[in-house]
Amino acid sequence: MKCSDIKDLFSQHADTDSDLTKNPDFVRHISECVQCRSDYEKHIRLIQALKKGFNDFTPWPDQQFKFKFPAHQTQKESVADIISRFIMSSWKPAATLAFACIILLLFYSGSPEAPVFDFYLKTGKLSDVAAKTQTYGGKLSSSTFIADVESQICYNLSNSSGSPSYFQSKVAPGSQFITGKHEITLEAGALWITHHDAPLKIAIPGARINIIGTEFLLATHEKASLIRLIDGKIELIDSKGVVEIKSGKNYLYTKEQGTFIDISESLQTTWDTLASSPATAFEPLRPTTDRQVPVQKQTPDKSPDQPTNGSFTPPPETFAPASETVNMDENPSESTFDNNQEFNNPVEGLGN
Amino acid sequence: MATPNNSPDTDDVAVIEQITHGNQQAFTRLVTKYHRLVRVIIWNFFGKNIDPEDIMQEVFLQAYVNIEKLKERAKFKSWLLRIAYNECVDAAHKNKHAFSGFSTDDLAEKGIHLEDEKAQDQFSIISAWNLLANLASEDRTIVWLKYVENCSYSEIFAVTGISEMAARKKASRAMQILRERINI
Repeated sequence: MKCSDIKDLFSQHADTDSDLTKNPDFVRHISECVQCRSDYEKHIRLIQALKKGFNDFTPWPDQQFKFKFPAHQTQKESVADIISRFIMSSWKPAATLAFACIILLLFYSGSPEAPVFDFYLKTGKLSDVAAKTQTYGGKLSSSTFIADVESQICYNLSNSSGSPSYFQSKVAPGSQFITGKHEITLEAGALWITHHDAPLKIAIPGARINIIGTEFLLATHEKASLIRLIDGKIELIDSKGVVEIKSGKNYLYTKEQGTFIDISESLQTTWDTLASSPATAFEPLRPTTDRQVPVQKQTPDKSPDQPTNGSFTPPPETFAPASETVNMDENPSESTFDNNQEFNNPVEGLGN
Repeated sequence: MATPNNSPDTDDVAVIEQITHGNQQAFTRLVTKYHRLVRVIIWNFFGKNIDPEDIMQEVFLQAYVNIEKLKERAKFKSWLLRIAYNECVDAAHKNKHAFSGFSTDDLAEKGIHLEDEKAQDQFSIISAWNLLANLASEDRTIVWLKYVENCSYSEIFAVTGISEMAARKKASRAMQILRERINI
């Protein structure tokens, strides 16, 4: 065996040096050739040095590595996936989960779906669909009403044993609304509401609003609704889901589009505008071709001589440029409510 | 650290099974297990003069995104190292980083002094680092895979794409260079 053959053997059997020592030709050669024996010893020590060197070696030991999951992948595992994995992991957690579900089902099956409200007329004058006038103090049945004058309604919980829960409200003259067991539906006109108690729901044609400790304005006119949130927060529920909005925002909902649109930048409206004529609030939102020639803003007519014949007659449309609007953030909720027929304008003394 | 030749990792198979069934967080177990090996691959290419973070993120991201496509799950390690090797080749082409090993000062910072080189425990570390700096990054990786990680030449082919015959020749030549330079 030649010296060159020995060096070839190093590479072929380098990782299993014992194989080399079992090769009688190799053993015979290195016992006779000093150079090859030296090379072989170096080869063995080199491999040992490499193994030890790398096994003791951690590059950049001071740098901690944390893999960043891609954003869309971390959301890949839905709640359903987690529950599914939890159930699949073993039968015990699955049995626990099933038991918990049964307990929850039994618990909630005995609870009412939502609080039932009794609505009352506190001030003002309402007519129902039978043109039966209802004055203050009366309990409102579940039917359609039209506000003859600016009015105030409130509610208490029929199943509440404590003091009645009130919300303060203004209903613009000419407004048409329905009181239900769980909510108010504004068909047309305008509402101003402060609400800090049980969850109240307001429905408008095509959508709903959940109120969570809030003061806000609402106007509905010709299949469109305007919402101005003055304080607190509300949830807007439309065909595309639930959107929570915060104070200072204006939203427009049209039944045709089926969704709420943020119009905070383009429109400001006030209770004065809405109370005098809810339709005027929508005027700046009309397409230019449909918009009437602007006329001087009319003074709100607070006369109680509104139609009382049971048919809803929208007030005459006026044009109220956004620049002429009044800041509603002057806390109208501090206005007092007394049991006379006079309506206390929540923004009295402001603007106009 | 080294794993025996051709020993499929059943732990990896189980973890990958979990990942493909929706437990994406199980991937962190693979990261924990293999991040050092990926670092060593990067170090073999660039030495100390690079921040490995970006390459490591990219390597594990590629593995994470494509793990469901891995057919031979027992060979995850080779597959991951192939991704790391390719990333390093790309980075080397883009950045033209030259390998930079540890200087005497670097070693002194780590409490290793050349005068102690003959001490057995220090000797091997210094020898390995400094000797390998004499090799091309490709040869350095092959030597590391062959003699430290105990990979077969077929596994080296799986990682580097270098044929078994070519890898054998490169390893033989590299070891000859190291034998000539080694001072032991």
